[in-house]
Amino acid sequence: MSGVSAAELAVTGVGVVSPWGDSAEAAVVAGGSAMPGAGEWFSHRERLGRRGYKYLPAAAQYALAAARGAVADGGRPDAVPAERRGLLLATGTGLAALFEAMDATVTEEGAAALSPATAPYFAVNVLGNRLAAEFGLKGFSLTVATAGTAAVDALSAGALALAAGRCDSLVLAATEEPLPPGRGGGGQQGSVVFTLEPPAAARSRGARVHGTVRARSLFLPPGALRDFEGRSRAAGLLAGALTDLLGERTRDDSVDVHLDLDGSTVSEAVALAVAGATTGAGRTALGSHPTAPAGAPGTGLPAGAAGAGCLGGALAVAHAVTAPHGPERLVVCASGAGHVALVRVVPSPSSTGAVAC
Amino acid sequence: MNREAEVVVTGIGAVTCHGAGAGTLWRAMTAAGVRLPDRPADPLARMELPLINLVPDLCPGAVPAAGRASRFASLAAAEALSDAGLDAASLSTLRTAVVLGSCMGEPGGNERGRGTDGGWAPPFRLATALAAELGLFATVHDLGNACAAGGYALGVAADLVRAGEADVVIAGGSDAYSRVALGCFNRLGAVDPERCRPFERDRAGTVFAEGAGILVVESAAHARARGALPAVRLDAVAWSCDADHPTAPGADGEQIVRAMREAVGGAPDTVGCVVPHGTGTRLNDVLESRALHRVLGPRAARVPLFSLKALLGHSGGASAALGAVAAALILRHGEIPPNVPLKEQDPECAVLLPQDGPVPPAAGAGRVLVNAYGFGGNNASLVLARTGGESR
Repeated sequence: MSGVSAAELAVTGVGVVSPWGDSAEAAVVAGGSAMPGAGEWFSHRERLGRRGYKYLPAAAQYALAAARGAVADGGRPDAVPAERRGLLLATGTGLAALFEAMDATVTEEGAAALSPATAPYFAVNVLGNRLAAEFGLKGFSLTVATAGTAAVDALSAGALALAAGRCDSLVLAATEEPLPPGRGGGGQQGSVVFTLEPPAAARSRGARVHGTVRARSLFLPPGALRDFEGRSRAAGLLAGALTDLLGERTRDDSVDVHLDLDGSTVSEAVALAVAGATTGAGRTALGSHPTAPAGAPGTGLPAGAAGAGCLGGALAVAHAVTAPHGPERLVVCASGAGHVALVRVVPSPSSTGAVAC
Repeated sequence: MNREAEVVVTGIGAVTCHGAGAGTLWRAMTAAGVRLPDRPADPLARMELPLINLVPDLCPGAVPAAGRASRFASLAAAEALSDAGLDAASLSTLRTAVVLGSCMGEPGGNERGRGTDGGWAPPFRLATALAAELGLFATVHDLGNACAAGGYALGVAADLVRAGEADVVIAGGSDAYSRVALGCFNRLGAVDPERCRPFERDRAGTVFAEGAGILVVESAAHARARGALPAVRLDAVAWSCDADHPTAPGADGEQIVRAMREAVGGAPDTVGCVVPHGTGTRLNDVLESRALHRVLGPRAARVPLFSLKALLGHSGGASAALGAVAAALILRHGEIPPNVPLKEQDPECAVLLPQDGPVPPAAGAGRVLVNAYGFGGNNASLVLARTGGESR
């Protein structure tokens, strides 16, 4: 068992909206700074237009702005017919604040006082509705909400959908809002959007490709990691997945490792496996560093609460795929609940400039 | 990816407002009794119509409000695995996956007075909880595709099997009472004060329901190799998205027609029964009826529908999975139970709803079409068939 063996996807556009700036690098570099209050850093009128966006939840606004950024970056969802375009929406905490507010309204004033504009958002997938409408994503809309790893899980689920013939291209939108103060506060805010398609399709239409990604999603039952047998099985599973993903490598092959882990036993097992897989016989020792400093999205947050957000992994992939040409990159995400997601990123040979593949 | 690989259903499990068990569901289907909605024991449910079909025998005191949807999924999965002849020992030797869809996930703990006030937990953790409970080293996805979530989960399950990425997939959906969801449906004017009455002339909305439907899905080759004798196969799962209004279905019905056509393939004449989405909302039932005529052609008026939500209410993210379980039961038993009696069928819904007793599938047609539509224009259509029967 090596998890979801996703096909390779070409990344043709990346859009990032974050409190620290509209690039993955800015979000990572500025990660130690204080997080602005929700909404204080984002003007929907300036970013999206004067009319029609006011009543969208912030996470939907972020996703729309990031999607426009991905298209401005070269993504072309319209390169295939609308019915062949799939949407992957990933979120872990996306509407927690709105739910809290709506619950307060129901319990204090009654349901009649709810806003009809926001009432449809009790269904979390509606976060992607405007995005699907604006970009004509009629193939399907798949919402992955697995806590912590939703964005990278969506990569593997999307590749599977492509292989199954459900679509010819994908827009992946990872988006989050902070938790409400009454529920602990904190968490992530912003959005990362990727436009994706099979590498051969991107090449055939002469698209600029940032790089390619392949993802694996695994689950390690946390309870099984208490004993030696379970830990051994987890180690074997992870080693197999890493070998599948990275292939046989020589000492000259280097891989830059980006970790988005928490302090759980699951993350410990993953860190051990990654270290073992990358420093064993015939392999080059790999550089390993956290995606972002403590306090940045995806780090330093308690598992199961604010750590449920999926932007840590999404930003890591965005950063890896848009960083200047260099070695292959491995993005590793894990959560205490048991989810592990691995993404191999292969930058295009000259991703620092426009590349016609 | 072998897109032509045969995918079979080797086990089914259900938890509904009629109780736990697929057998209980079948008895309810054959009895076709009227199920009036309950009122949740929630003093903070301040809304005009706090109506929902609750799962019995799991009173709030027995299972924490924070864990009802997970409990439903666990019960239904245990039944489905037993039905499939799989136990913990055999599962541990297989490449497994768990893919569950839900509209609300596990909302209880995040709503006032129903869990740990002040804390917050990720609501979409049903598949995660089930995999952890079963101790599975697996592929695990929690999906949140509203009322089509179970259909999306079964689609991912079929894809995993056809890609050779999992030997066995435990897939389906589960949903439990949510004050926020019911309050929002009240605000949208979408709750029928009487009960869930799809295709009735004077229907006035839907009534939510609790429940879970779980199916064990694997390749026919794998099932054969382990000695399983599945009676039902999952022919196809097709998805589409209206990419239009957040709540109203696309007025032209184009995307629900496309999903149905993709699921049915080139053989609409082999559809002998339909488990419709049919929620009881005015627009939805009319649109689906018209779409069925476009897909099935002149036969549409003669293909029996089994209106599951009239019996169970609308179980949200579980509804498509429960529709698939009902379809599997119909295929196993070889007959379509009578529908819950309608006072008067809406003439704008020109579909066949037998009510006088069980009927056979439409002549010479053994496949069952299941539809599921959710907010956000998320659509899924599934086709199930008897193994060895006609194909697409």
